[in-house]
Amino acid sequence: MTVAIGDSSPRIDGEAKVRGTALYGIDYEEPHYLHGKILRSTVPAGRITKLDTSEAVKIPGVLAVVTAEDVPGRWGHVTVDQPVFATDVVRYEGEPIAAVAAETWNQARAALRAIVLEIEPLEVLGTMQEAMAEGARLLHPGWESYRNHFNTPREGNLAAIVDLRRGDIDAAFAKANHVIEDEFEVQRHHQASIEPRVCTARFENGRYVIHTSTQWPFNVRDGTAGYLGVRTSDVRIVVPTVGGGFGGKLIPTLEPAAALLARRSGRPVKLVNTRKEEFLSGCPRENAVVRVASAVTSDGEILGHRSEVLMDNGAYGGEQPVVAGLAPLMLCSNYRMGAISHTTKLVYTNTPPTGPFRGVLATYCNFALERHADHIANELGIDRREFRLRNIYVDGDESATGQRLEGVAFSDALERLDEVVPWPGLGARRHPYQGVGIACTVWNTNSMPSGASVKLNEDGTATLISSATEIGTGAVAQGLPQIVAAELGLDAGDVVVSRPDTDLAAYDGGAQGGRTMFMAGEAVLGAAREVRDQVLDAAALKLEADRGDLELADGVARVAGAPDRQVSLAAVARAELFRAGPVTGAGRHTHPPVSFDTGCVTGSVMTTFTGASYHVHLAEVEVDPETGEVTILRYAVAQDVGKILNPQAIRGQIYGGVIQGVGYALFEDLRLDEGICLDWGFASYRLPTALDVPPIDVVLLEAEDPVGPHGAKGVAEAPIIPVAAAIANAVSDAIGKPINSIPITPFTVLEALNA
Amino acid sequence: MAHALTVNGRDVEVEVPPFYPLAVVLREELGLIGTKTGCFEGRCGACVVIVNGRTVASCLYPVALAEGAVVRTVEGLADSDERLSDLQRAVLEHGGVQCGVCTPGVLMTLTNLLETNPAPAEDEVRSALSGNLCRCTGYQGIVEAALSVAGGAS
Amino acid sequence: MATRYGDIPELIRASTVDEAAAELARLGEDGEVIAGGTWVMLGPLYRRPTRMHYVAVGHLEELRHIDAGGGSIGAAATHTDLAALDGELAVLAQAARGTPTAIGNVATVAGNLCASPYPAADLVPALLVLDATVEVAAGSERSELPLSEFLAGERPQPGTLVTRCVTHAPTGSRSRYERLTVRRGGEEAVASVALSVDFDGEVVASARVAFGSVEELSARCPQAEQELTGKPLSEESAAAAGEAVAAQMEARDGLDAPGWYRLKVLPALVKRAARQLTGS
Ligand code: FES
Ligand code: FES
Repeated sequence: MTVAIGDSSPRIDGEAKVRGTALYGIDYEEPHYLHGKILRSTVPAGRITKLDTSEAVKIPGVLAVVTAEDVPGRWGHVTVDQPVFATDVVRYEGEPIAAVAAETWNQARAALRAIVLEIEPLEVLGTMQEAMAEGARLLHPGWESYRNHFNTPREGNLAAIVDLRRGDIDAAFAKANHVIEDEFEVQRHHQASIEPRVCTARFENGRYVIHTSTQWPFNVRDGTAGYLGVRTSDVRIVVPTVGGGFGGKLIPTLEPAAALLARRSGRPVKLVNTRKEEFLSGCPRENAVVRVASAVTSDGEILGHRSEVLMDNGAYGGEQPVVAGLAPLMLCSNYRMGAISHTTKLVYTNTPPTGPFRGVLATYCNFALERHADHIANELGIDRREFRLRNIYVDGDESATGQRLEGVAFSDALERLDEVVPWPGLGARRHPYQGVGIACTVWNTNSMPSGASVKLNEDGTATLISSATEIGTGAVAQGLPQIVAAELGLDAGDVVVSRPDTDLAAYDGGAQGGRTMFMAGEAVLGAAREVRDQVLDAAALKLEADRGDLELADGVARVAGAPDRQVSLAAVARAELFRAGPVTGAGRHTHPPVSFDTGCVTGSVMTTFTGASYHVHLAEVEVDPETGEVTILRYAVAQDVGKILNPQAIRGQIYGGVIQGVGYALFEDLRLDEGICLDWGFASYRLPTALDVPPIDVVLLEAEDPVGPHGAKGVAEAPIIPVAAAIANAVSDAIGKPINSIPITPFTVLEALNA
Repeated sequence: MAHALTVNGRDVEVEVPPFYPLAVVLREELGLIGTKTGCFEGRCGACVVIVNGRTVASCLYPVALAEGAVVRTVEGLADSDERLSDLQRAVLEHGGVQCGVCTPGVLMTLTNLLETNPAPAEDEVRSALSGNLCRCTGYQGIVEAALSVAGGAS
Repeated sequence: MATRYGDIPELIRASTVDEAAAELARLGEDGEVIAGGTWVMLGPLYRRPTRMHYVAVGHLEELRHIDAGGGSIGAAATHTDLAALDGELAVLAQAARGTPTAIGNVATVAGNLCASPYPAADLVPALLVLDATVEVAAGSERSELPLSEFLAGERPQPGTLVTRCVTHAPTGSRSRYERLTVRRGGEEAVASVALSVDFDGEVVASARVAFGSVEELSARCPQAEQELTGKPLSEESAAAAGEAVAAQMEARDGLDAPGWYRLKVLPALVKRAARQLTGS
């Protein structure tokens, strides 16, 4: 059966995954590979006074030991601040100090134990408060000398500073009937993919070949090359099956060390994180503090909005300076806000570096914004949904940065949600300690560029060559081949997809920000259309028909309405081979620039929405006043996806995202104490189980995007974003007390009730 | 030290220290990489296999305890190299597989559940899964798959 | 991963209980029992000391034997084996069901009793309210001692083997276990209560109460028992029992929950258990 857009076409990797034959990063081995291990700091701050590896290298079976001496360079996605191994100063617990490679796992472990390491402790700047204090020790005394790719503002222990000013904020606050203020605090949140980070590197012909479990092969290529001080083309990244990412596998982590060990030992080297190393070495969603104040009129119009976000960067910048730039867009969003004044500070601390996790800072900016919206509504005595309807973005409204928004689906989403769960009804059948909350969010689709090529094989099947990376979402295992199949009239099973390989396929901006279908999808569509063109030309010739009368379906090209006049794609491919050469198409895609008020913001490279999508979530909860337990009675999602490409895959992303959001809202918490990681295993870091899942209703909306393939937008990232806000609003409603921090554990709830 | 066991109907002997976890023996000695390891804490369930008719977390199961045992892994579930088991088909049909790294453990847990309780209710399915963490799917497709197979059997 | 290749050199598979007891007596401090393996295998991750030799007993039928009528619970009975118990021993079944299946299939009664420190061990409070005694084999000698006494000593006692527990719940008594977790399940209880009551008509003739996970070590709670005895089992008496205990206990702070919280929820937990027992 020819696949169409809108079908739930099956996963092309499904059978291997249920048979257990899919080869993941943890399964990938090369002949005679060595076991690598990393020596990590056990203290969060200190000066290395002794590092002696001479005994380690003598251990039988040990073929390489490397330290900062072997790789003095630094790298950083934005600010070039991070070494592969700590040089003289240790900045976080878990920071790599040395690495070994040995014939056996036990020998590698013995080698680690034989390294003599002495660290003189330094004062630990374990919290943002400590790092920002007057006269605080500098985490990076040489910060001014670090290169910064985007020249974003920094200052001492502030790794990035973002500012946004629009309109006359003082006038707005002077004119307001009410000023409503709130402060919010959120925890660290770990991606905790079930497959840890893992890679296998070898050195051949002067190049590093690395098979690694990553979401963004080109970023890992660039970063690994950057750390090692070689050309990017000297690194080749190949991606086996990936056992979950969620943002945790975007940046290089183990790859540079593995590459170096492979080069020194002359053998392939495999490095696997233990679960504890996963927690220690980052890069979780940051803990943060958000402060907001709104100037409002008595009928609920927002005249002005002041806000500040403090993000904990941990010891090194990573991607976080880019992420920080998104804060004003997410916090001063959803509603017409009048004048805006916003500052975000990204703070270096002696803690593991934080990083991107699905939804990045939007999860907590939205938590703050939507809790604040409830606060305003309650304060003014306006129904919370009504308050939203009065202020929410409609077509033609401007975002915080002055981008004119079109195709805004908020009102639609609120209405459609109301058909499923009528808002007035919720109040009427409420019992004591039951509550309801809604949260709205606009979200961006990442618009990093992509290229892809498609070839028609001589048997009439097609192969897609792309470095778009499948991390579980189905974007590559379902969506991209579906686009190709639909374009060429093929079965789902008739499209093969190459492994991501930076040697082989064009650049791709990674499995992040919901961009694979949106950006890679458009490139793939372009490539498939080229193939389609070539096929139609050839078929028209062969069938002596008008090109315009032809259709592609069921593996053939045929004259529409004349089923006897057809030629198989296999025949076309073989004929073309000798007539004009193999049938092959290439596509490439980048997002056209979006205009905005360029003068209003500094320190941000993410200033506009691309593929903006609109979301409303609703949670109905019950709280046990004696134990503080929160039960989610019901959950509903109205999500604008642009265009439904694959309903099953979309539904899976929404369920998965909401459940991650439930974990974030209710119990996931990566705690640190003076820089020491307390939650380093699944014993105390609680991931949601099958028992924690509420019943979820899903409503899909299609506000087609002018750029995305077939009108599609990013789908996978957003469902996590409004969950904490919706649940916190519902719990606050249930107990009549504000919940302004997450996770909302039973302890928090009882504390709030007893306050 | 040699340990004899039966894995997916095949008698095997492995020469490893007694406290090697069964998961490592399956993966590294026997090449049965379908069994995954995500924590070595007994908490993620990716390594669940069936030993003598009961599920165990094979990361915490010393191979010496499996002496003479009948072990079943995900590789032994399919009806044949052509045909998947009903449960395998169902998890794919219901969207219960995303990254898939939890899938082998989930399949072993559910296979065992359905063998001991052919028509479980939804809460029984969810309870049975409480030791299998899936970070991707939100469990919905997995639970629906189990219930669909249970429905088919009854 | 810390336990991956294990440092422990020897595992001795005993073929009878007597042989296991003899081996353990011979090994003394160098030896220890292994049954399901979970506690031992997790040892290195939590930096617990390991022994040179382990004597495997989980496969011995005699140790797995459960005689519900006689109240005899084999030391190597697993949580799953216990899950079917009912009547006077229902509390034990309910306590056993809190453990995820793949762990409950191997984790044993004696493992729960000997694991230390392990304040959240579910079977301990359940066995306490059943007035259990513990049978221990030291070489060829077998002796029996009250569970509370067993718990107070070094666990496991080097050179010995726990062979079974014997419960002494009054005939016709009813029991219940309630556990509270932060997630809906799949984890250790942050607080739990075991309750065993026998009624004289509506009135509680005698009650046995113990809490799990609250203090470092579970123990019977005479104050709570007193609050419940001599009156009908009600929400009020249950809450009073919980409050009486909370006022006396020193709860532990842990990563799983703060101490104050464990105390705070005790009345609610006892109420839940009472509600189940009275069917209200
Ligand atoms: S690896 Fe065994 S439970 Fe996670
Ligand atoms: S499918 Fe990825 S963890 Fe379950």
